[in-house]
Amino acid sequence: MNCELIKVNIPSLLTEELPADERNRVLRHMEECTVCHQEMVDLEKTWALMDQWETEDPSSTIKARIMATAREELESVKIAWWLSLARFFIFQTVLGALGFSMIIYLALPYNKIINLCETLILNEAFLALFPKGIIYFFLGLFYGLVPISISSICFQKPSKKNQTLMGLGASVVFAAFLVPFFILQCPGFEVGLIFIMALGIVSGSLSGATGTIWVLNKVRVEDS
Amino acid sequence: MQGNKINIQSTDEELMLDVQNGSMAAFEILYDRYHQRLFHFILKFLRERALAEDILQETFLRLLKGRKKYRIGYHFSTYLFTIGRNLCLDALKTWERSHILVSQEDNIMRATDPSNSPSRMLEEAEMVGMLENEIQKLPQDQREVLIFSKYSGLSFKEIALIVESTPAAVKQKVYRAMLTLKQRLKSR
Repeated sequence: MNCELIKVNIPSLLTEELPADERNRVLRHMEECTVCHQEMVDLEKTWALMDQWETEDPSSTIKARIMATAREELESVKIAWWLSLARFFIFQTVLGALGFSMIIYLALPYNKIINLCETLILNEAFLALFPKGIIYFFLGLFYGLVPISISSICFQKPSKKNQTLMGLGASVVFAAFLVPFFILQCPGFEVGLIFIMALGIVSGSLSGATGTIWVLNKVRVEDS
Repeated sequence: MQGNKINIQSTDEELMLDVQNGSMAAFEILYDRYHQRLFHFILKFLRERALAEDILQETFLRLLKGRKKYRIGYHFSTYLFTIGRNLCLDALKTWERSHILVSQEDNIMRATDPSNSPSRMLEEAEMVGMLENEIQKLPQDQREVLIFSKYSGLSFKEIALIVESTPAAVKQKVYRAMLTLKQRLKSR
């Protein structure tokens, strides 16, 4: 073996990666060659000096930070392209419907709105079929269910936590606008119905959150 | 899946397959196994603690986000260090050189602070300060393989895979880097 080949093997000697037979050959050469031996001694010192280069550990908080983000990533759901497209159209439709409702609300005289409410929901035929409590419970269910479902499909990257929070928030906002309308304006309203309606809203929110998570998980697609 | 029990003695590759199936516990074990070695490499390569922590975090998150791209047969440590190394190279491109020079000066100042230690320790600290400085002055390809081989616990074969070279070429670069360091330290 010539000296150059021996010297190039010094790093492998230092990292203890040299196979036994080759290692013996290199060491035997060094016993005979003072130049290579000196090179080995010098590089060993440099290598040892590198050990003293302080090795700091990452801060204690970083693990928690990484794990929190990782958990969010693992819990997040990737949805199919067609659902992305669908949720865009749903979002547009909802925006349009809200705008249209606002126009009607502002444009129609007040008594006409009350009449509309009576005609559509609290009409006599309806009341004959169902007790008032059931009607208000289903109204609440609708207010709870619809916003949470739409918001969780349309507004965010679905993760269990975000979905529930966002949906509940949307339900509250939705209910805050519409519930007083029914409570205060519809004839024949009783105070006890507020609780029934609230029960409907909570049930709607919870079932909406669970339902959309279930549906989104069903349409989950894996990365290619 | 998340509910499955993860064996702490599983190989890195087995754990990575669990991560692909959504196991948080497997990801945590992999983090515990590798974060220190990876951080040492990043910190020594970039010499900026805050940036090194950001890159450590980004490396693990990229590993997680791209988990489906991981294939059986990939050597996990090589895979992980390749992500970390690429992020380091990107950071080097964008990071202002002056910022790194400032931290180099800080290190030398710290190493040469006479109030820290008796004279022999001071001499040693001075040497370490110089060594750090000289390592930074090495050509980038030599510097990274030297830091990889010394501080990441990776073999020359693994390093070669990461830097897309051959084990012999990596060994040669480490040798040249050490030779340069030795000469520069002697001349001081």
